[in-house]
Amino acid sequence: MTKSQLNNRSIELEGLIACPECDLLIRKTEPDPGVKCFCPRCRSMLFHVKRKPVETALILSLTGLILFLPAMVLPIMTLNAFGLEQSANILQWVSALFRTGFYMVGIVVLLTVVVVPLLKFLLLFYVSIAIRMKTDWSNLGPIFRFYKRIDEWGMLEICMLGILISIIKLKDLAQISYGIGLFCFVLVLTINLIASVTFDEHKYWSSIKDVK
Amino acid sequence: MELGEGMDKERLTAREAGLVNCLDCHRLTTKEHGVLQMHCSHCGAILHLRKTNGMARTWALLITSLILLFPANLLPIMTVTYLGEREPNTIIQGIEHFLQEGDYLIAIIIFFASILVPIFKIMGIMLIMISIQKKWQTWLKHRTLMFRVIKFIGRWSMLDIFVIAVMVALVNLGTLTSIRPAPAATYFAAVVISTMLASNTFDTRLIWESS
Repeated sequence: MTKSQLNNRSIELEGLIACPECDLLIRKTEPDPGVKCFCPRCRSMLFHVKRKPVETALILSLTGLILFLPAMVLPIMTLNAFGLEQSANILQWVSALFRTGFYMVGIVVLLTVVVVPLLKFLLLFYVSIAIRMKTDWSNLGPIFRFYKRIDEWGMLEICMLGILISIIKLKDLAQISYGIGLFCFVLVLTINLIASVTFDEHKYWSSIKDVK
Repeated sequence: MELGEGMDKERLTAREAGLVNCLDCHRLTTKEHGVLQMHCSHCGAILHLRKTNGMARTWALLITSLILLFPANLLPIMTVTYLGEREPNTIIQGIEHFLQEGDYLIAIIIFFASILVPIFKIMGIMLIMISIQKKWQTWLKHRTLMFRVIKFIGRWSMLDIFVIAVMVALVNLGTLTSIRPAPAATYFAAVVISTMLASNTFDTRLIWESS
């Protein structure tokens, strides 16, 4: 986009986008599904078009919501040592941190593995169903914006790696048996990962109506 | 696929064209003069030409995390009581323990996530910010890429916090054998949070503007 073109207003604002990472003005195109678009100057990914992103997200978020409660309340694993048994679910991790007085760590764990992932499924479900039903709800813009902002604070996959490392750490100390909660947790985590891979932000924003 | 292929050298940014890009929904809005606060007509977000006080906020958060990094690494992160014997462990001691046991992969993962990533993240963003303030004209693309990588891997530092959460809840077998968190856990969580906030307050567009 050159200065002369802009002065002539030969290209309307609607046909332009700016790179969020380097501010370069770029002419908008409508690429085919599966195509990734990069900024020609800084190489940031502008959008990645997916097939049926809203429907996929709708199914995934619903499945995630159903499995979420069992993943949180069923025991993740059980530890056997010296004839004693100790099992814990994710909410008990948080309460153990609170009990020992580490409130901030407890709140961080609560937010990153419980609150944010749950909110993400709920909001994704809400926005997807609203778009699918072609509603004209005016709060979709702010809600979807909130969804995108909390996205990086959901840390299910990091938590899974943490579980694996603690299993290796504890295996010498005691006998460990895995609970059904771990199975549900892995499912929730997988659904969350598939949802982020099939996510098409561009499609959502183009389907969401203006707030005013 | 690349957008805008075949464009000539005279490239224009949104700012130069008098436009503001909404970082949430990516809609362009014409900048109005004399208006204190503009809202995006599409998603309702407050529009800023650049993130508010990007440099100052990022510096503040980075210095905070640099200070917190010391107690996080020097103080014990958890106290292991095994058969009545109390042993406080720092992050480094935890890694040494894995090395002694022969779990090299785990030792490397924890070393990366808990030690290297926070340090590289703080140093990396600081380097980019200094390069902006010194008005470097080169390595624009590489510096943007570096920031992208830093932002992507930063969250993984939280790993140690989850390991602690699992172990504290599971290993609670009376007074003889238990694992309790120790002060560094709080400092370490604070380091990760403040570095994540620092990468959010930083505006990569400043790299391209300093030239």
